[in-house]
Amino acid sequence: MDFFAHQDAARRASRRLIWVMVLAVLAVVAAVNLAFLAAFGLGPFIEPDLFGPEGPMPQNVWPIVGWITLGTVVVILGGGLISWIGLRGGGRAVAESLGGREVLHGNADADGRRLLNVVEEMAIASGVPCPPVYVLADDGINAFAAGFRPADAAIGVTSGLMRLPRDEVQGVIAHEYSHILNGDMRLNMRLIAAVAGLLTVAGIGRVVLRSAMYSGGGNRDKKGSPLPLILFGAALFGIGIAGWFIGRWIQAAFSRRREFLADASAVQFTRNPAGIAGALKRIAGGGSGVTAERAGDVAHLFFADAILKRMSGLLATHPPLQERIARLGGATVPAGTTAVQPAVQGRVDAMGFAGPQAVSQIVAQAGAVSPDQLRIGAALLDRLPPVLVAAAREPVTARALCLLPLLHSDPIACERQVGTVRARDAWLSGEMLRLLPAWRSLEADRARWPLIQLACPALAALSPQQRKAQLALAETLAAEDGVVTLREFCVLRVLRRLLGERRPKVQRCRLRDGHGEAAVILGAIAQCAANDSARQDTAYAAGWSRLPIPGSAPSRPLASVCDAMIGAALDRMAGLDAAGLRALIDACAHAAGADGVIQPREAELLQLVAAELGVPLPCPDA
Amino acid sequence: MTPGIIALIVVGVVVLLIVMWAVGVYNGLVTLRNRFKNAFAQIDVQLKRRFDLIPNLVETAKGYLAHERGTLEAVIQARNSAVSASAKAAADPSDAGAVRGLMAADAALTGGLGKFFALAEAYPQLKADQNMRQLTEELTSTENKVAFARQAYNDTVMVYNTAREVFPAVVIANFCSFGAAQLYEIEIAAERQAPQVKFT
Repeated sequence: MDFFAHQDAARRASRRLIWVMVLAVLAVVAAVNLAFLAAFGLGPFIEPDLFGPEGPMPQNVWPIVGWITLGTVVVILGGGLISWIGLRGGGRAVAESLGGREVLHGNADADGRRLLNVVEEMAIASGVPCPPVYVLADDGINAFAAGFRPADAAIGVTSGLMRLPRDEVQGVIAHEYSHILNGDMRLNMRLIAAVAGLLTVAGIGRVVLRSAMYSGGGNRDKKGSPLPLILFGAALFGIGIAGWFIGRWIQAAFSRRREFLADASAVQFTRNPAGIAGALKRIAGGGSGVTAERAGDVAHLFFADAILKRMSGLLATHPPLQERIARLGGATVPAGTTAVQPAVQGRVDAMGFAGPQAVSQIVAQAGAVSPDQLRIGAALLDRLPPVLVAAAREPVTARALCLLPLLHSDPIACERQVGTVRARDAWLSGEMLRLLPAWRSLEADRARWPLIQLACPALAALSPQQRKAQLALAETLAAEDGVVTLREFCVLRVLRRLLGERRPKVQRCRLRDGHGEAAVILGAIAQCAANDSARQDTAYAAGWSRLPIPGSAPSRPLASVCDAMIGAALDRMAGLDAAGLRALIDACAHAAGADGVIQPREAELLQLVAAELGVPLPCPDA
Repeated sequence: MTPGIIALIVVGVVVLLIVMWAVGVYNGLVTLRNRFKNAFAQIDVQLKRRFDLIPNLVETAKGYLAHERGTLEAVIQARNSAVSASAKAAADPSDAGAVRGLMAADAALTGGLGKFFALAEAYPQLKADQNMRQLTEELTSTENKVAFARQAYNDTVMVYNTAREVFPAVVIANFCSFGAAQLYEIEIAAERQAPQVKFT
């Protein structure tokens, strides 16, 4: 199943979730009504003088049932809405709500630095922005990935996990990355809000019922006082118990099967089943509980059971450990491939950069990683100039680094741009000039995108005011630059998103309705792929032929400047369905590689464009 | 009987919603508190860098400032106090007292460094020393980084403090002991301008 099929499956699962929630609400409403009726049945035994001559049941029960139903629905939806609002901050907010402390290169111990290296290697290899890493102070072994999309993702681990050997850490991180890369993060977040209304009431109900029992039992003098409380407690009991069971069941149903898939993906990425199996075996011995208060709400985000009291069977959010280990034991490693080496031997020797690459394979690689790519990721981290890597990892210097792609190659124009920065922030311009020589020395644009990827956690750590200032500066520089290449344009869009600009909501659309936009994108890629007009035409035609759009291609749009039109086209095409997206990425690959092969430079361009369309393409292969 | 029960139901729903809202506010405050704690860690990273530079600085200057032991030792003392104050604050940035302790120690260190550099002005050989120039260059750069991290931390603290002071969230904040966070402010006027280290 490739990335696009995964996306389809996630969308279908989201739709299913809505139906399941409707049924869940109905079930809970029924439970609450039954609880009330039971309370009425019991009422005469507890407070005989309260009920009039009509007997235990009120004359007309239907209005009450109606109000109970309305009330229950309001409570469940209200709880979900409140939870949804709390999720607005994305993955980082979830990590912070669990009490996570961010792991920073500047103050991490050896285990922490190793963890950061593992995460960074995989980010470069898989083509997604590097997520910030948080640690939870728990001895149990666990990890999670939260967020709506790769750009706002965050990864968290327990301190217990950090102590594991490198290949086991990598196995677990690969499992978490597969959630990021498979496109089911949005579903996971929706699940949090969906079950919030159901689960929260359970806790409240327990507390109230307990106090109602104590006060109701001992207080027989005041007329009527215990009954409302008992009824209330019964309602909470109904919503609580029913809601709890149904909520946990929903969590479990939507997450359990995908955990097997994520395990399998982790093996696919690292070709090292022993890594992730080793971590699971240790969990079997030592536990994976997370003590944070709201771990229960987000239990399905974790690698293994996070709730301290393990639930079995239908309510377990994760498959049984033994079964996961058993499936990994049988995982086949294709002959001739080697596992990623553990870091005892340090990183692998630097390899040469990617050579030409079969064009048709590109689409198949979306949303996945191979051990070769992981090796390249690690090698790249080693080869990048240390001054730039160090700059990328801290917020104050990452600001300077992320402005460098916007500088003009012409020295006079560049000087003018630096002057603009100096007027606003002298230190920043000095820092940019300090980093500039190393930046210019990077071979042929190949390694610039990885540096931006590495800078993502640092940029995410800026305060909102700082982000706004940075965004304004980036916009000013970009405007001054004049000619903007497609690569710069995409980098600018990425920066905008990282610095908090709100994207317009993605509208679903079909490829046949958007062939104007597809033409704009293909035209832009064709222009980058070749130098003369004839070859650009060929590239464009090659790309267009891969689209399932009947009729001849519209004439190639000529854009001397990447402008709002391309931005609008990318925004619209990001809403394509899975089949359309696959076709478009394939078309882009063929346009970029019309001469039969894709050079690393073109592959990186594809990475950027695909990222804008919401498709993570791995780093160019060897 | 019936209207009474309906009234009960409505009251019950309202109570439940209020409790759920309170849980939401609680989670929000937990999130914002952890956010400023993480922002503090960024200050800590830069402060560590600054603390690591100072012993080198003092060692380099020892040869030239043989008769100025007092000033040098004062700098080292201030640096060591600041290191322990910073460790205490980093352990729990929500402890306002610890942060204030760090601010005081930081200010003392800056004062000590100010005296040191004022003294160094009178020693041209020290000013010409290559190592010295490099270290003071790095120190100035680090001061800027500390200032930047401080600004981010203060921004985040403001968001948290505002969130916990607003009615009705303040009720939950006080009930669940979410104390006000301490802004990291510069205390002495001398530090408002970066130390003037012009060795040209």
